[in-house]
Amino acid sequence: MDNIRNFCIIAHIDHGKSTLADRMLEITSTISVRDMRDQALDTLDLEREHGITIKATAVRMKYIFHDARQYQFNLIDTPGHVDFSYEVSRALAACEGAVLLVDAAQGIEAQTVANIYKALELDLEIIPVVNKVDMPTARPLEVREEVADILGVGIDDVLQISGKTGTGVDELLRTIVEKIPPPDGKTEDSLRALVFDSSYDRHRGVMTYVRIADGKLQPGDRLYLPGANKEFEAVEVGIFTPAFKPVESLSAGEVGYVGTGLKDVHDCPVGDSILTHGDSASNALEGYEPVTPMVFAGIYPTDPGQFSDLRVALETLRLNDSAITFVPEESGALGFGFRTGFLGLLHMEIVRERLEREYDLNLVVTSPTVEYRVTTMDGVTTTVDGPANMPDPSKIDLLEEPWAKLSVVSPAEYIGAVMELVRQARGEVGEIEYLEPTRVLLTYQVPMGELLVDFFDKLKSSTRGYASMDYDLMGYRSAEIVRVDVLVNGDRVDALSLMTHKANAVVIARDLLLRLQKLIPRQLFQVALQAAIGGRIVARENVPALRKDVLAKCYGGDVSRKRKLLEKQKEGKKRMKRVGQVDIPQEAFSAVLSR
Amino acid sequence: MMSGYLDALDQEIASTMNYFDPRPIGSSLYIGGGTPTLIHREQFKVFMDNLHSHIALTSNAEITVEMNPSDCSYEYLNTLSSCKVNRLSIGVQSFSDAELNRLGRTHSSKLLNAVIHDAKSAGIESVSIDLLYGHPGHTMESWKDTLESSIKLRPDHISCYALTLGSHRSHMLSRSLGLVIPDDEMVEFYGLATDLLSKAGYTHYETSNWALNGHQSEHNKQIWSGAEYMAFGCGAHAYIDKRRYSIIRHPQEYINSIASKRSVVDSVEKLTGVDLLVEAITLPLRTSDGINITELSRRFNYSIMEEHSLVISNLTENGLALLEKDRLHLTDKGLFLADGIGGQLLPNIVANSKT
Repeated sequence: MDNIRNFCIIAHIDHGKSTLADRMLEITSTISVRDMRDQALDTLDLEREHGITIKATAVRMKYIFHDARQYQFNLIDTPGHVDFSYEVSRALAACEGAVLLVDAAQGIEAQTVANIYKALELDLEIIPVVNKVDMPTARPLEVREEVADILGVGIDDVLQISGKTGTGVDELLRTIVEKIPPPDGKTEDSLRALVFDSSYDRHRGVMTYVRIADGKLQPGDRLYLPGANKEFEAVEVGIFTPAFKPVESLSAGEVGYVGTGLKDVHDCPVGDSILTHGDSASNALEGYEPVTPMVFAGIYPTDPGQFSDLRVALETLRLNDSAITFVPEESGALGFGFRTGFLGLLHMEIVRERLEREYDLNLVVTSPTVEYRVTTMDGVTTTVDGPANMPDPSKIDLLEEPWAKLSVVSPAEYIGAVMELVRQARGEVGEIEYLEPTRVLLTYQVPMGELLVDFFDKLKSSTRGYASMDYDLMGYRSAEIVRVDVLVNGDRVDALSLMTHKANAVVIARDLLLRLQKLIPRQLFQVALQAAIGGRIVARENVPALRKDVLAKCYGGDVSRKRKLLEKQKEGKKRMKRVGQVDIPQEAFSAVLSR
Repeated sequence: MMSGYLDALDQEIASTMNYFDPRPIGSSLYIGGGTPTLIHREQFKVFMDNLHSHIALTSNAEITVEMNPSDCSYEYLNTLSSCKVNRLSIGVQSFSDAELNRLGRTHSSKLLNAVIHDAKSAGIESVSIDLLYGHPGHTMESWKDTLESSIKLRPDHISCYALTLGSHRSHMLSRSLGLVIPDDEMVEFYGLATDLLSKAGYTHYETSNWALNGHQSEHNKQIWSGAEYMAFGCGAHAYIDKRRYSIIRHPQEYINSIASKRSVVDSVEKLTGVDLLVEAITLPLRTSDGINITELSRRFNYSIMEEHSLVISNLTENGLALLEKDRLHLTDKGLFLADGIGGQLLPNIVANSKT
């Protein structure tokens, strides 16, 4: 066990984590140069397209140290986006060390700071590394100082590498051997393994990704999940190459997978332990808190006939993504759909894209909202995750909204701009900490709902792209939240309603109408748009009627062309939702998010 | 090249007509697609004589020839008349010399008065002129002048076409220079034409066409009613037995194909039942006669009133359409939206059948 090193890489998006992982795979000959493709660990197409890692994956590498001893490296890859930060915690819990990778031009970003704290809490050995030192814009000295300061280490302890060229990567691998401690479990003890992720496989059932703390695991073992209270038999035991590769056994300290034969990922929740059948549940390892969605939106098929296809697609997707929740809901305008919960907006966007692409569905997604806590006059407290289930205002005694702790890392010159944004978002000013003479870490408390809309985009544009942010749910506070309704030609369209703070409601309502006015194409008749709060009209706009829509000439040769054009337009309208006599494009239903 | 083309065309007509037994009898003949009168009038006479020997027409058939004003010499017009041509379609475009120059036309406005007079005295019964509006730089004042000058000449038929921009480079350039007249202003041009022409006694019988009594184009009305037609020559389109054929566009390729006895058909499209229904709704909608609801439901078992009652009541309430007995037809305002309205009246199966 002395020759095992389990680690992950903590890095901000675009700081070069996947490229570094690629180099490691190459140097250790885990993947031959012939089979190498960029970002080998990003398996979903969407991950490659978005340039981000969504799901944690793992890979085992063999590394020959200069003393000729062979080491087993287990790299557990972690997602970089804030929406998936819970996955980072899971990965960290399965490691003894972490490589902290920071871009030599960008410096430390807000999320990285948050992840460093998580790693320190778990007592991990951190190896600080500055990447992309070969870039013309690199500032290796300043960034190394910044990293050294935040970790409280000497500047010489911060390595310099280029994942792109491979410079310094070998030294990094040596440092991993030297600095990261080997696991300290005991193979002769009874089995204790931590489930740090899972996926679904049609033949082998739920595949749990595990870190063995103590004991040994073999195919055919009778096993027990104390958290879920489920028993199963190990169908297959193996390691990540990064593809699944069966092995005869996994022992204390090792990372691998177990095919459970179970049919639902919710039967083996991430954070649960795997014990030998018959052992006491008190042997379980310390897990982590279950993931809860933060953002909710309605998902509807544009074609009502696709409702059951949507249900099947969501159920299938949930097999691999335990963070999605969904319950059926009904809308007057959109028919039957699902109130769906997500970790954040990126997660929502990814789920939507997967549903449309992999399951060939046309979807309408309504404005996302956070989950409010409402206590009615009769003393009952419920959660409200959409405009539809908001009780009548006269029956509400107390309404609370979620607040987040927001951290922003930014060049010091933009402190004023960031503070103004936070103020507009109803946030409370917090602390300023200088990471470098010119870069600051700002900490605020902000209502979660305000962060959802376009805070990140505004932050990026008001700091010329230099600021980064991270947030964490911190609790609930009372708030005056109202529902803004939209009337199209005088009829309320429930799916266009949104919830927002009273103070901003009128501004948001006006803004929403202006966006809708742009998004709704001109039609044969004028479309009147109105926004109402509690029955009072607060804004109105019109989409003027179309006045010309005809080809000047339609003789022999034009007839087929014209027909095909009209048929195509009719087909295109399937991507719109008809409400009364008005065709509303899909994007209009999440107009509050659009720019 | 020209005589080679005429020979090839003659062969195509002869061999195509040989397929038919008995030969169909046409009710109209249209010679157009640019400027057929580019050829010498003697050549034209030979071509027409050959044509008449292959094709049978009813005694009162409408025979139209498209012309440029500058080609309309009195001699040529006499030749046309002697070949039984009884309708002329002249590409006038505008009565402003500055505009004609900008549009790349070689004729001058002074010529136009004589042309119409000559045509009539040569014995051609019906004269139509084409006008163009909404081109870059076009103004309402100049459009009014053109319309009033046209009305003064009293042609039997006037077509007014809104400029349609394609993907042509010069069009893209106009677009980028902001010279393009927006649709909302196009409506003003269209409105003025509708107004002045109807006051002058012309009937607005199709989106872009106006005519004096008895001078509506029979040929085009046949096309809008879904009738079949044959067609010959480069780039022509025929519609026979629910199939639409297009002929090779490039002249030399066309000539070569005829010479080597290869088919000159470039593409064939077989219309499905849904396609036929779509055309039966959208084509008549461009005309003042509109859709015959009873006829439509008899032919296609499709009740437009049931499927689109809401759309139709909205159209009539907003002054875009009129419902008279079993006829649904568009108003002047509606005719300028005919495609958009047609799109709303398509059977819902269209969207579903194409997935």
